[in-house]
Amino acid sequence: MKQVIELNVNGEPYTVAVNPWQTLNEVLREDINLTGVKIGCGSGDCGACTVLVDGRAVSSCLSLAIEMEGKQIVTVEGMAPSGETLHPIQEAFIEKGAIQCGFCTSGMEISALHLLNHNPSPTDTEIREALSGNLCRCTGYTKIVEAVAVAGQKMKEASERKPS
Amino acid sequence: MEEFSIVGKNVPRNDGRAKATGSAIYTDDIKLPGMLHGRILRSPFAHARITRIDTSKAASLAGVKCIITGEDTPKIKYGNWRLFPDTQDEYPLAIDKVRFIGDEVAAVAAVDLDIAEEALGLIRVDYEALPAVFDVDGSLREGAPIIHDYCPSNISVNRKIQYGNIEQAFAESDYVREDTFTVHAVSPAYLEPCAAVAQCDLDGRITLWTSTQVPYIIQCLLASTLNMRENDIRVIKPYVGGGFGGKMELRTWEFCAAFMAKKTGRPVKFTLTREEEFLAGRRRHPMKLYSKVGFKKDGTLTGKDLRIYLDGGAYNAMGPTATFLCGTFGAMLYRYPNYRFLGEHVYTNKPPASAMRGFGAPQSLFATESQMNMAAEALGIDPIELRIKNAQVTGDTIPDVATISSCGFIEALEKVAKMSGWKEKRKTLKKGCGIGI
Amino acid sequence: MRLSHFDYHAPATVEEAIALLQSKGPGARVMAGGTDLLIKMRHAGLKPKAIISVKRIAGLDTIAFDEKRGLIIGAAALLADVANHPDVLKHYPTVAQAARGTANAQVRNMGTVIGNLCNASPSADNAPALLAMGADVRIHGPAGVRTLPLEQFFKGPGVTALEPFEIVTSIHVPTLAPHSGTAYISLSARGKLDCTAVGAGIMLTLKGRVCENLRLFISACGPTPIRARKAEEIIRGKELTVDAMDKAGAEASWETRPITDVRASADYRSKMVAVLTRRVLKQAHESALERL
Repeated sequence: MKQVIELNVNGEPYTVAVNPWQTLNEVLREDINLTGVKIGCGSGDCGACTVLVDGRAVSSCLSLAIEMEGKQIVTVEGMAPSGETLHPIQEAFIEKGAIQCGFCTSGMEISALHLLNHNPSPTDTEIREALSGNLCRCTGYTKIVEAVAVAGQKMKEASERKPS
Repeated sequence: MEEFSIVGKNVPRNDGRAKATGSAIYTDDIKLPGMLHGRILRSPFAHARITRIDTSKAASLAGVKCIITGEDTPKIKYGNWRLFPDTQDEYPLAIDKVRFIGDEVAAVAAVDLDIAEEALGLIRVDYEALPAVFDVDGSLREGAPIIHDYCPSNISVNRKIQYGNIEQAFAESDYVREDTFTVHAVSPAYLEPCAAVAQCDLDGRITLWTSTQVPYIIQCLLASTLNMRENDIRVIKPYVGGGFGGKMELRTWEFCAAFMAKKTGRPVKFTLTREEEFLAGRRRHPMKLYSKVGFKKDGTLTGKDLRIYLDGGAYNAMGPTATFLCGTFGAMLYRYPNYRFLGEHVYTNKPPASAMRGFGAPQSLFATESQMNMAAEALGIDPIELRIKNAQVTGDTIPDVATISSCGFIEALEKVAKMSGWKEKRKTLKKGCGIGI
Repeated sequence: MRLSHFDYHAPATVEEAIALLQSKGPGARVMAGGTDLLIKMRHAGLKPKAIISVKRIAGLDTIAFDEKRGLIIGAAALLADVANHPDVLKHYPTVAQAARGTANAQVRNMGTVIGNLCNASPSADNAPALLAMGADVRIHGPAGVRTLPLEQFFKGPGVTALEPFEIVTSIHVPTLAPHSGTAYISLSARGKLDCTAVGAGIMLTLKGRVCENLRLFISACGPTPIRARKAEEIIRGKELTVDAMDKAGAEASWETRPITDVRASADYRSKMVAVLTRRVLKQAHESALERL
């Protein structure tokens, strides 16, 4: 039996009817059309489906949609402040060439966002640990780690520029 | 140095913004009005005769719009493209027989995936299990099960290359060694599982969006397999989440999406699961390689006699090309004045192997490079020096194979020796530490 | 692949959860993070008729420390929260380390320590250290509450001492003795993300320079984590020497029963049991000395 739940995704309210067996990934991609959230393995190994739920990076393929009632969800589509301005993480990924086929990119960026929200100046090891649940089969890890470090720098500079 | 506008500059990639924002559309992201969702029924047997398929129960499930088996299709084989049309040996859906665990037997299209999956469970297939073989030795054994009736030897393709006089070369060598190598299968494991969406217009023309590396080959093979004109099929390649060679052929779900879209008049989408990718996806060929090489005392290569058995799995796929290429690559990197190659592509009851990154080269060169190191040790010559001594250079010709039009191999070897501190480290490294090439 | 169909319940109390388990019968499964359960449903043919989540039960996400009673970790406490909790990091660094070493960042943000234990994989990362520290599990069931030493909890791969309709609600780790040290080391093919191929957890208590007591558990080398009692005997009551560590390692190797599977060969595992035994002995001894 479907149950009606309310979700907050990227700051916008959605009311969706879900079956208990539907995953958050299925609801985001199929009901809300947020296809930037990918599905690579369905078993929490590849990280392509990573989203933030109440500020934590989780695998949307292993999250039941029915448990998301009232939670704040952020997907890659919610990162950029506007259509014209990118998030510093997105800018850094483009600048550093941290993108190849692009299929891991949204998950990588969300994991990076989770890391940098908690730790604006991570070490290389901390970056690698935070991205350890995200696979890049094009094997572009070096560039991705560089991009996250640069993004941290950009985010710090931006927050210092902001008048308090 | 001259200033260029692009060369030497940091140029952001064209598709960077689309991919960084998640707005890049991959095949599975496509959603069309009225779209049906397809799933494929796969064989649980490695080798079996299909005695009966009953789809009636599945067809009566509410929401199921179309079910097809091999019998419903035009029964036209596909496989390697125009290079080797006589090696085409695969039907979109099994006819009479299944040849590996995961072989495609039937397809369902339904209004949603839940129903499509439920319908798969309602299709009844009766199988008569047959003995199966899982490696080239098993397939080549006297009395081994025959996997394709047209091919009683289980050897579907062979390629020979021969130049010089290899027997004489070995007779005149100071040092000859013969080794056997085996290499295993490797999954391309592209992060985006295969997917296809097809739409058929009122005039019967088909548009197929598919996660492929080769849209034109898909158009060409799909046309022949559907018995249609190429003009009436349009193939669109959206963004592709990696392929690495594994998305180089027409595959069952591309055929089924198109065929079922035509049949139902509604768009049809197929997306594979990761499990299906590992179960039935294309992979790099496992091979058994027998390699004999001869040297003069000073390290000069005299010749190579290479026999390779490719474990091709149940169908040829792009195996004939791989068979061709591992002989080609076997004659490369070093100068072999005498060379003999026999490559045989062998059927087994495993998922078909096909193109993947290097396509015959990694397997062949694994044997080549291993033997260079073993020979260097036996001859007491530095492994890099032995390589430089025999390396091919620009302008070298390999009879019947290739002319090397550009090659920086020696420069690369010299540079890596220098950058790695090769010479010093070889002398000074302690027991338990090493440096190798 | 879609999940099979089930009813979902998120009771507000433990009693309600147990009543639901009773009313739904054997087709019902308890779920905390779901990171093991959903994978078993996708890939191993598990088809529960009902899923009963413990995540909405108030207080079950507790992580609490008290000098007298020790550490309590609730059934819904996330691996990430255990790994980062200041009290756990301070008083039970090995518990935090094991939680941090489980799976990847996303799974740690969803999965729980107790879920990892209840999944009863012989390679569970959180088991060896907690076993070594003599932790107890608190179990709620129709007959009330019972406490069981974690050492008696594992019965085989995927099998625990839980009776029908019972739920593990928390785990209690006693306060560590003042002169004790703990350690957990695991090995796996890829180093971090993948399942442990062999692991060793230890708690060692010193009296002066003498190893007064110790508990050593080896994981992924038998149907459950295995206590290496004979290896413990070699160390117990003596000062720790290189020779004794070698002997204990060799003995621990004999006490385990590894198999060959995709993660490692039996032979490799046997050899590594000896190596890890030596390493955890050394590490726990050093940290115990620091606390002397």
